[in-house]
Amino acid sequence: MKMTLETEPLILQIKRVSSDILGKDVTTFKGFSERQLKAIAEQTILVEMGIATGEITEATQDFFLKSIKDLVKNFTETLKGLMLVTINKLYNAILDLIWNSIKTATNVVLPSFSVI
Amino acid sequence: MLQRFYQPILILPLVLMLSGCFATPGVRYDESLVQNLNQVSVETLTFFASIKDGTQAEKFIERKQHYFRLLGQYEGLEIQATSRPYTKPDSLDRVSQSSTPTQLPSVTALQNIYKTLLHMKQTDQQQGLTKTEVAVYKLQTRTYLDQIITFEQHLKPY
Repeated sequence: MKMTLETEPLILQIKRVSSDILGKDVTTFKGFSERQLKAIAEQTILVEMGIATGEITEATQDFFLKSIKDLVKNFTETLKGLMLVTINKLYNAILDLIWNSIKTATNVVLPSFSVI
Repeated sequence: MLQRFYQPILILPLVLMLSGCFATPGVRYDESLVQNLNQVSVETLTFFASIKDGTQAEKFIERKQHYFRLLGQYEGLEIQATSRPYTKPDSLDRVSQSSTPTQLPSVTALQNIYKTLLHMKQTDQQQGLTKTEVAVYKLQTRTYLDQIITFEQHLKPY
């Protein structure tokens, strides 16, 4: 027997799925950013103090200074990557929900969609 | 009235249009890669702990094999991470147009750990390492490890 999809329940389900994913992932972003920023700050202080005291030698000074730049760059790239992965998870979850709703309402076997 | 817009026959074209925008596959979660990463990170941090007070170039021979082993393992991990089936989704291209990365951030971090250990090995061999230098190399490596493990774990599907 065929059913009719209703707006409100569908919106509620989409909201619930979205909130679950975003809630969990935002916690990941926050924890990761805090750890990284703390580590980068510590690294900067260590390098600065090491240069001042001579504990960081000429052989390593330029490498460490350049490395701080690389570290920050890849931190931002990683954060961006995490967010993009979340967008894809969101997309897949919402589409999966819509697809299943249509299947249930129409009782028709639908072709599967490509999951990212 | 609104319900009419959600009739399956009307939703289908919308869904198909959306799926067309995101049709290309993304990066796959690789459990064995994460396991290997965890194991290598323990081994790496253990090595750093063993030299935390600094090193002397005269005794480099005692550490040489540790360096080779770690360098080999990071190169292997990079190959494992890079060889996964991966196509950057169209949607991601649009979001990240400003500075489109050519590779995953976890792969860049693996390469940077390799460079860090290689530089550390050369300095160790030539003049030894001060306590502060060991601390900086260690923190740098640990920060990259955090980037790699966080990103790779995040790929795990719900």
